[in-house]
Amino acid sequence: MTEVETGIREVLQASARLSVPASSIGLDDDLFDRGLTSLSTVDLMLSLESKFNVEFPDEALKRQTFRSISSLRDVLVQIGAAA
Amino acid sequence: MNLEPDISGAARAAADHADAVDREGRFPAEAVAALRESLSLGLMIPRELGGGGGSLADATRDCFAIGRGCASAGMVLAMHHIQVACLMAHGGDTPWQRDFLVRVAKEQLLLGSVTSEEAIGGNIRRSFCAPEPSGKGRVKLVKRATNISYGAHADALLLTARRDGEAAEADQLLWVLGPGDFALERTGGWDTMGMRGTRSEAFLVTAEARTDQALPTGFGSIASETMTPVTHIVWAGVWLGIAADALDRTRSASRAKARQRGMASVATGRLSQAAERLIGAEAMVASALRKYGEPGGQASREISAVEINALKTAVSEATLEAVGHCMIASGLAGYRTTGPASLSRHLRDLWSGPLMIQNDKVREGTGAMLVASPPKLGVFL
Repeated sequence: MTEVETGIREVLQASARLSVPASSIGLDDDLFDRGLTSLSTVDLMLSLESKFNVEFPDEALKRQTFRSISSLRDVLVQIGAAA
Repeated sequence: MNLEPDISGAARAAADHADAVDREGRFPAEAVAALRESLSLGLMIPRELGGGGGSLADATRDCFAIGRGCASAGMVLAMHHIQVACLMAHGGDTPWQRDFLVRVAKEQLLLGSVTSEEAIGGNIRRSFCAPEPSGKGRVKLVKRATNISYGAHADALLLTARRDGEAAEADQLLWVLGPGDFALERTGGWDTMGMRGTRSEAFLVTAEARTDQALPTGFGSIASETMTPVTHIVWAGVWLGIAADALDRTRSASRAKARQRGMASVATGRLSQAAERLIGAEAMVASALRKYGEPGGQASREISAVEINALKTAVSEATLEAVGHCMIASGLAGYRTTGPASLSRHLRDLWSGPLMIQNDKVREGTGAMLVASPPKLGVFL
């Protein structure tokens, strides 16, 4: 598991208000099926931005980005989060 | 292949120089140069005449994109497109008019408007100026204009005048004055709170033209079928662009605040109200574009004046209200005259909306028309 993935799981556990423990979520599992909502996505975004010291560009702010740990990882790496 | 002009370079130039244009109260020369470079001034002119073949919706999107960076540059582009629309819809088969459109596209001529005049009280449907025959099928025109936006920078002018010296003030024609046909003497300045770069100064216009340089249609139908509806649609595009930038700035500042101090520190209700205004305003513009169609088309002669007036009054105020909500949400950062969250330009520029053609006056007309005819409601399409 990469450090970015570990970081994402920490943030998911702390601020995404999911219905299951973040450690039990698979890389490609649908986060919206695990309790993520449009509103909690905002908290998730802000926490990820703080943790990785990046800012999601407007074009990345879509449902697809937040759908899974792997999609988040891909975008975060692309915008410069340290792996 | 997409042959339409790419506006992105001009949008960047507009944004990069917006503060200087506002501070110095100068013409947005860089943005207009980039518009010429990308052939955007010919966007609406048909392909067969050398233009971009774009729709009124395309023009409105361009006005939004430029206005988002620099309100004055957006307004200059909007006013230019209004003149092009009048030429396209009412030039008829006159060879001179057709050749002129070819020139506008080829030489990227910037078109200005001379509808204002001293002593007619701001009503564009009246003129005192009248052509005087100067022999050999030519006429001389002299007009004391109270405002010609970017007059000192326009390559060509569309000027209203009475049909002749005997005609009533409302019996007007629209004259097309090409490069070299006119001279301007500046008689008044432009030092306003906002839209400082449009340089809408007063000028004494002296012109000489061929008689076929007047559009064949009377100005009354040009105004009601093309100039007024197109004006309100493209202006709305500019105003929405200005307000969209204000919302962007406020969102960006709110996000930084939320990262530091949590969502509770963000004025979410205000952001929401700003967005409500803009989503509603955008829907009105989209609806007007759908119902109006293209300049000169059948629908353009049938769209209800109530709807076009309502578009103008509602969008000019909704965008201003939206920036007001952004200001409350931003607090001091928005209130500053400089900095990335400053809303000073946006608020000052948008105040021109309810004033350029007074909303109170427009509403008097709308209200009177409503007594006779209801708006079409309950269709939802």
